Amino acid sequence: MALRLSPELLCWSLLLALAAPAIARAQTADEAAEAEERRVPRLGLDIAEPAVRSAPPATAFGVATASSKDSVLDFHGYMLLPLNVGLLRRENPPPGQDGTVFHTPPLVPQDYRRFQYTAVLPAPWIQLNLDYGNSRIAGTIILAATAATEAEAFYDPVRQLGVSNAYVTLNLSDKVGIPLQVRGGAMQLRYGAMGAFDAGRYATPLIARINAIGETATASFTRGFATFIFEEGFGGQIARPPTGFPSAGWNDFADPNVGSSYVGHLHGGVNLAGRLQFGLHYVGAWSRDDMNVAGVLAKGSIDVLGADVRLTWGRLGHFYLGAAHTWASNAGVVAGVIEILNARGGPGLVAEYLGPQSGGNGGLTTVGLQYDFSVARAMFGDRYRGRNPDVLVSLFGIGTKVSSDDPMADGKLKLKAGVQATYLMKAWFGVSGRFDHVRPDNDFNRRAFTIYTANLLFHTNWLSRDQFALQYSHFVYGREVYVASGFPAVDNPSLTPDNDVFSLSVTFWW
Amino acid sequence: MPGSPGRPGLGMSPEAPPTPPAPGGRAPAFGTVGDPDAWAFSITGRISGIWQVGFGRTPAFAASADQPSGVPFHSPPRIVGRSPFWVGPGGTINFQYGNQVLTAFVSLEAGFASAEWRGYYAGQYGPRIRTAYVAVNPPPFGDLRLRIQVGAFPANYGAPGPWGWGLFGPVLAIHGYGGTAVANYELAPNLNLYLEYGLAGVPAVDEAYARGTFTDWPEVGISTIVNHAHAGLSWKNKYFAKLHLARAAGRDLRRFLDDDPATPNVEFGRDGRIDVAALETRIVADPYGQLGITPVYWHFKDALFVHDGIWWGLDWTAGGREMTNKFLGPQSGGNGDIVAVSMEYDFSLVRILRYPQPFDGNGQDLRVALAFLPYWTLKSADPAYDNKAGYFVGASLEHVMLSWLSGVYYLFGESRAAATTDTGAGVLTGRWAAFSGTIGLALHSDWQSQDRITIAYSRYFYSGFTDNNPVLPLDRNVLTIGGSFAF
Repeated sequence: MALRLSPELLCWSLLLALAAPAIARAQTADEAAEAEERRVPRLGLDIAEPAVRSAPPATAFGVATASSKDSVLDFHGYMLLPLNVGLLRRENPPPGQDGTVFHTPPLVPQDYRRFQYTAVLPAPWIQLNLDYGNSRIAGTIILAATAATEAEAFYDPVRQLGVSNAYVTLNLSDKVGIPLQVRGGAMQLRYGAMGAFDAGRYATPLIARINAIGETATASFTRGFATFIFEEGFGGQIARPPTGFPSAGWNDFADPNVGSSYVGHLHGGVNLAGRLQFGLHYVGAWSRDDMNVAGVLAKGSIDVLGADVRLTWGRLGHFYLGAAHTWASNAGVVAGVIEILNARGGPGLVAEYLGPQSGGNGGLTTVGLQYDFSVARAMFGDRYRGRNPDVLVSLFGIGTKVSSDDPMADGKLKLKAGVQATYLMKAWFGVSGRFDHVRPDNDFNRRAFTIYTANLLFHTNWLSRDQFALQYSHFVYGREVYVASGFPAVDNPSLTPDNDVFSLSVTFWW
Repeated sequence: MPGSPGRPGLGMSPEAPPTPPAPGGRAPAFGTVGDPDAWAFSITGRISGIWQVGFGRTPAFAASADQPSGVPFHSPPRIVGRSPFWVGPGGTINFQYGNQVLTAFVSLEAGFASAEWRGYYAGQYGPRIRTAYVAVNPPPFGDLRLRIQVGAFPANYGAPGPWGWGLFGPVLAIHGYGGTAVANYELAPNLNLYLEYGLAGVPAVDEAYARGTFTDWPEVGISTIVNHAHAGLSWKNKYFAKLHLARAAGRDLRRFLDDDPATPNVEFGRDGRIDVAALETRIVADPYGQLGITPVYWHFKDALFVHDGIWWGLDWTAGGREMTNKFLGPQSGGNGDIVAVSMEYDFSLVRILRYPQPFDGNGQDLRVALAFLPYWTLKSADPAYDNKAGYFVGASLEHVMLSWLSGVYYLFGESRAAATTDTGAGVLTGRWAAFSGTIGLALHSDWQSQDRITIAYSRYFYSGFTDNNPVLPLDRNVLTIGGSFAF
């Protein structure tokens, strides 16, 4: 006789388990419906969703793929490969130099780890997802790179991520009678995804990104039109830079001051009729390690409490609103087990937000929103299936307020916002325009900049999984907008950033 | 087999590995038309594990200083000049997903990087995603067929061999992020016109980037853009004439941060470019095989300031650096002109002898590839190299004796009338020459299989100028053992 636990008790006791991809076990219509009922909802992005450092097309990664009761190999992937060229005019070119300069990559203020990042320029990302398993258990390996060495002409080990994720997913829904999946392994988890299927136009999780080896468990139960979702996880990084380890380019500039770091996280949410979802998120990362140069116990922590709401409602489109507060205490010793607004660990948080005199103490209050709207769907509702002309509109923005022990950083307000409109006029062709404005320090207009972008989009069909894009972006800078150079790159006031950037890119996912 | 149809287009398939063909000139037909079925996933690749040991000579100082003497063993062998064996990556796995209209391709490559194989971890041979692109082949518009390819991939042109790399490779090889667009139009029955345009960019690398052996990349990294255009005609898929034009331009302010004339040590940079024009001609004359002849012209202007968007010419280029060092002279500043003619003839002896009876390769045979590549440095700013010449010569023969056994024979030679070497005691200039002869046995699973287990012995010959350092004499005898498999 099968043991049956009450759903509530089960949910609260699930905070130990591991998770598996949503592998539908349906072989018949009834089984398919049953599998759909037991599909594990998600509060964050699926691990398989590309961590592409650009705004990708909305891609339904993480949906049910394999449906076999026997073990099978499943293969998915994503690639974004751009040629970006920045143009700059030399004012008085000397003999032997032309008046026009090419910069590849462009010399523009678009560092992924900084608030200035807008994801408006495509950046290389290649990802291969290899799953093997069945509807009960599956193993997943994700291979990824931020460069293709054939085009880079040299080997940069930091950009070849190798096995970026490797985990085992166990689907226990059949055993316990409610959707339950447990995952164990090395996973990158993202919470606060502003897009419907992706991290949003800024490719930036609003609440946190977690890079840990450990476990997560997700469970849900339904009462009436409400589905309650619970998720937890715990893990850490497997190593820290050894004492005396050199900081160099080949090791991505290891910071010898960070210690072994760990993270625990809890999430709860409710989904109403599959249209409106509320989520609460807590992420706590910490380090307590005495394996440092001074040989003293260094304690630091980064805690995040966030809440978000997501509305996905046919004619009304997709709306996301999220808010989070980050507390940092001696955060400089916390490694990249956690990323806040793409800033890696405590050192990234100090460098971009809290300031060098903060001692790693301070906080961020962050708000972000994104609204995606389809004119055709608004007009025709569910009769519109994406196979006719359409106009897509997106509004998006993030703001964060810094509180810090560093008086130079305390009280800074950073804002960025934008709008994008895309007209898909043919099965094979569309045009798009995007406007971005970034204010890294709201008190100083001279540090703000604006980006105007136009795209010609080519694809093989309506709803095809490919896109070829020709893009032009024009940057308008304030007087104190600096770009970085050197290795590691630091802001260089002597450099003139590029005003014009051309891009040829291809995106394909499967 | 020579005479079989190849991949449509003006260049090599980017899926083809940058390696010489298997012994006897066999080359897998990468890029040829595949299964016309709808969406499909496929894995192809190449696996190789080839070990070489060079048998050296006792260094001069050892004998004179009463040091231990004898035959030193070197792995890798201390040899120079072209080698018939590509010791390269340990494995390449190609992931392909798509249909006849749309195809995504990603190659994953790794060498023997770990300490188990080398005694240390060699980062530059670590796993990497090397090539990735998406290709679109729209349905034909009447007699017009198009192909658009965007991503990160190599584009190789002007190789005189029937498929793949050939003995000496293409005369123009381009890589970077970018794309190509190819049009194929049937002007008349059996007469096809090919047009192609491509754009590629190789990203800059900051001057402060710590160059190290783990990067496998020692040259300057100036933003370089390559524009290339191609036009060709084919008649009955037997006679081919293709014109290839390319320009690689290196312009980057980041290398020259200071525009102040008062600091000329910083302000030395110039805009550089490499221009290439090649006329590829090939004739496929069954049963007599294929003959390819490609004359090519290179113009270099301040080519040291060009990154390797064009990564292969007469040899590996490293942008303008290696073509300058080897063929224009280190004192040229990367300025000069070179012409060359790359020729290769491939045939199957049994196919000729049996004609008009067909021969499909499944039987005893002698497969031959002969190549000759003379070049002339028409103009160089380095007087020691100005108006000097040189050549490459090569031959590959495979005597297929049984379905599982072949005898393989190679001859390779390289001679440059002008070369410079720094011996430590001074800079010498003279004729550089290196030749080698190889004999071996190859085991394979069938007459035309792509798997090989090879054992071979090579004898190297050098000019006195080439082997001019008695303290570090070059190896003359080399043993090669290994296997390779393409699938």
